[in-house]
Amino acid sequence: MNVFNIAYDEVISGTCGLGQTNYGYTLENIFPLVNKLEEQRKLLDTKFYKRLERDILSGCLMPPLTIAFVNNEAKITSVEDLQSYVAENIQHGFILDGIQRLSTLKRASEKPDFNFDKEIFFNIIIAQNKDRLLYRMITLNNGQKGMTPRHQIEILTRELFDFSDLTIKIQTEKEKSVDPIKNSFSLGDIARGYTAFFTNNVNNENSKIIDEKMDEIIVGRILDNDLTAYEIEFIDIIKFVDKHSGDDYILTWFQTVNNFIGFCVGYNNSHETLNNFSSNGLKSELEKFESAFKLLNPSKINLGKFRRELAKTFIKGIAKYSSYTIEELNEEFFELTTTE
Amino acid sequence: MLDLFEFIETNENEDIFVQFPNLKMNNSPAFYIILRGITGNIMLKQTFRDETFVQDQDLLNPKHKSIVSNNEIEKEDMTIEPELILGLCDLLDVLKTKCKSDLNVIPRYISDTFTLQDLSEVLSNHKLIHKNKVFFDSLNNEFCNHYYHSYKSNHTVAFLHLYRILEYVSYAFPVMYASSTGDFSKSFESLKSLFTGEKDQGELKVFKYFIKNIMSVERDFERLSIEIDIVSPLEEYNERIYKTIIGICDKTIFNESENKLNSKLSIKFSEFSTFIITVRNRFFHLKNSVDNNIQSIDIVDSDYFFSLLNSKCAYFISLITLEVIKKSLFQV
Repeated sequence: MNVFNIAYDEVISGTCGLGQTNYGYTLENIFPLVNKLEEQRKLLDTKFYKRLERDILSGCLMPPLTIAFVNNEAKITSVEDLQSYVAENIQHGFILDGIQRLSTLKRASEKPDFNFDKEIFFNIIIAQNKDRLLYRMITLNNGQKGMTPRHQIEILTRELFDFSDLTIKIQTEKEKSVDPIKNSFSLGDIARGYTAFFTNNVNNENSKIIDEKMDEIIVGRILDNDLTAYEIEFIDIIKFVDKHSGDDYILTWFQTVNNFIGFCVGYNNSHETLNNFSSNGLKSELEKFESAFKLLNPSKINLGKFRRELAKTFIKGIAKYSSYTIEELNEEFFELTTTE
Repeated sequence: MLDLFEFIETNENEDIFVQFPNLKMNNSPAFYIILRGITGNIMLKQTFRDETFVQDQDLLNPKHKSIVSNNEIEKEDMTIEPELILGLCDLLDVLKTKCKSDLNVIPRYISDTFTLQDLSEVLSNHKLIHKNKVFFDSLNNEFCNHYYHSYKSNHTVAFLHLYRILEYVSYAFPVMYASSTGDFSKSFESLKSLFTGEKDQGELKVFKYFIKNIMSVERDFERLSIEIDIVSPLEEYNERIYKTIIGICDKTIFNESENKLNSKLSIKFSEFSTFIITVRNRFFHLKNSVDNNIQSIDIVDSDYFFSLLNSKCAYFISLITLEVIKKSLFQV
C-alpha cells in the first residue's frame, strides 16, 4: 500500500494517514481481516449492495475504507515509517469502517469482468491503545445499523485482548458449558466491566428499556465520558485482578460481577494507591467492605445496585476509606444510600 | 358490589403455584394484579358482557411495528398489496407473542436481585398488602378497562382509560414516591420542589415536575426517548397523522433529530405526559374558539390513530406504575 501523508490525532493519541492500493492487494491482505471480526456485523444483503456490486464491475471508485492498528512501540513519524509499518503489520489490522463494502468487493471479484488493478483508497489509523481504538469504533459506527455498542464491546473484548498470558482464565459461556475451567471468569462479565469502564457508569442494564434505546443511552454515556483523561487502560484492571488472583478470597470477590463492575469504574481514580497494596492488604480492605455492606442490610431490590455503586465508591476512595473502621464505613454507606 | 372484572389463572396447576401458593390470583391485592396485567400475564372476564380474554401483551416491552420489514418486502417484490403486508406483519406479531404466561418476568423487571420468592413474601405481609388499597383497586380497574378495550380494538376508548390513569396517579404517585424515601429531610425537599413554583399548578403539572425532576434524574430515564412509529397502508395517511401530531405539540417535547418525516416521532421521556395530555386535549374537544384542535379527518380513523399511540402510552404509564409500586411497597 502506498501512503501519501501523515497527521496526528490528539483524541485517540494516534497517527493517521491516507493510503492507496488496488483491489487485488485489498482482497488478498485486507479482506481476510473481515473474518477475524466475522460476527462484527450481520452482512447485509440489500439492493444497495447489489447496486454497488454492479458499479464495481463497471469500474466505480469506492469511498475510502478505514483500517486501524494498535501500536505503542514503533515510532511512526514520517510517511515512510507509516508505509512500512502498514506493510509489515497488515495482518494485525482491524477494519473500522467498510466491512459491507469489502464483502461486496469480494462478491464482485468472483465475476469474470472484475478488474483487480482498480485503485482503492484507505484511511489509516494507528491508535495508542485498544480502549482508544474501541472508542473510535463506537463513535464512528454510531448511527449505523447492524452493530450495537454492547455487542461491539463484547466482541472486541475477545478480539483485541490476549488473555493467554494470564493466570486467571476467561471463558465464554459456550466454552464454559463444553469444557468448564474451575474458577474461570466469564467473558460476558469482563465485557460488562469494560462497558462500565467505558461509560464511567455502573448501571448499563435495564430490563425495562428496549435494547435499542438502551444502546443509545450507552453510546451517549460513552460520548460524554472523556476517555482521553484516563490514566489507565482497561487491560491494567485485568492485570491487577490477575496479580492478586492467587488469593482465593480476592478471586471470589472479583468473580461477583457487581464487585467487578464497581471496581472497573473506581480503579482509574485510585490505581496508584491500589498498586501499592499487597494481596493481604487488599484482602483485609475487601473484608472490611463486605462487613460494612452486610451491616447495611439492603433490601432485596437494591442488593445488586448497591453493591455496584458502593464497590465503585469504596475503590474510588480507597485512600480515604483504608483508615476507616467497619462502623465508620457502614455509616458512610448508609448515608450514601438513604436518598433511595 | 359486583366486580366488573374477574381474574382467572390460565393454568392453575403450574409448578410455581405449588411452591408459592400466594402467587396464584385469589383475592390478591390489586397492586399484584396490576403487575400481572402490565407484564401480560393475566386472563380476565368482563362480567357485564360476560367476555373472557387474555392480556398477553407485555406493556413494558412494546413491540415495534415492523416498518423495516415492510420496506424489505416491498423492495423484493413490488406486486404485494400494502394491506397484505400489514396483515403479514400483524400475523408475525401474533406468532411472536408468547403462548404461556411467565411470572418470572415480574421479578426481573423489579431488580436483578429480586426473586419470585421475594415477591411471594411481600404478598404474605398483611400490613403491606393493605397499603393504599382503595387507590390500587381503582387504578387496577382503569388498567383492566384499558386491556379490555385494546382487546376489542376500541383503541380510542383504550386511550381514554390510559389518560384517566394519568390523571388519577398524577398526585398520588409523586407523594407515594417521595414519602418512601429513606430520609425525611430529603423527602421534604422533593415534596417541596413539587408543590412550589407556579401558583395554581394543576395535578398534571405536579406530575410532569415529578417525572422531570425526580424520576428522570435517576437511572436511565433522563436520556430515554420514546418513539411512535407511524405505519399505515397509505403514505398520504402517514403524512396526515405525522403533520397532525407535529401541529398540536410544542416542538420542545420532541427529540427532533430522531424524528423521521411521516414515519417516526421521537418524544423525550420527561415530556411524555405532556404528549398524552396534549393529544387528549386536542382530540376530545372541538370548540370553535380553539383553532388547533384535531379534526377527525386529520387522523384518518380514530381507532387506527390511537392504535399507533397506545402501546407507547401504555409503556410510559406502566413504567412509572412499576417504579412507584416498587418504591412504595417492595423497598422495605
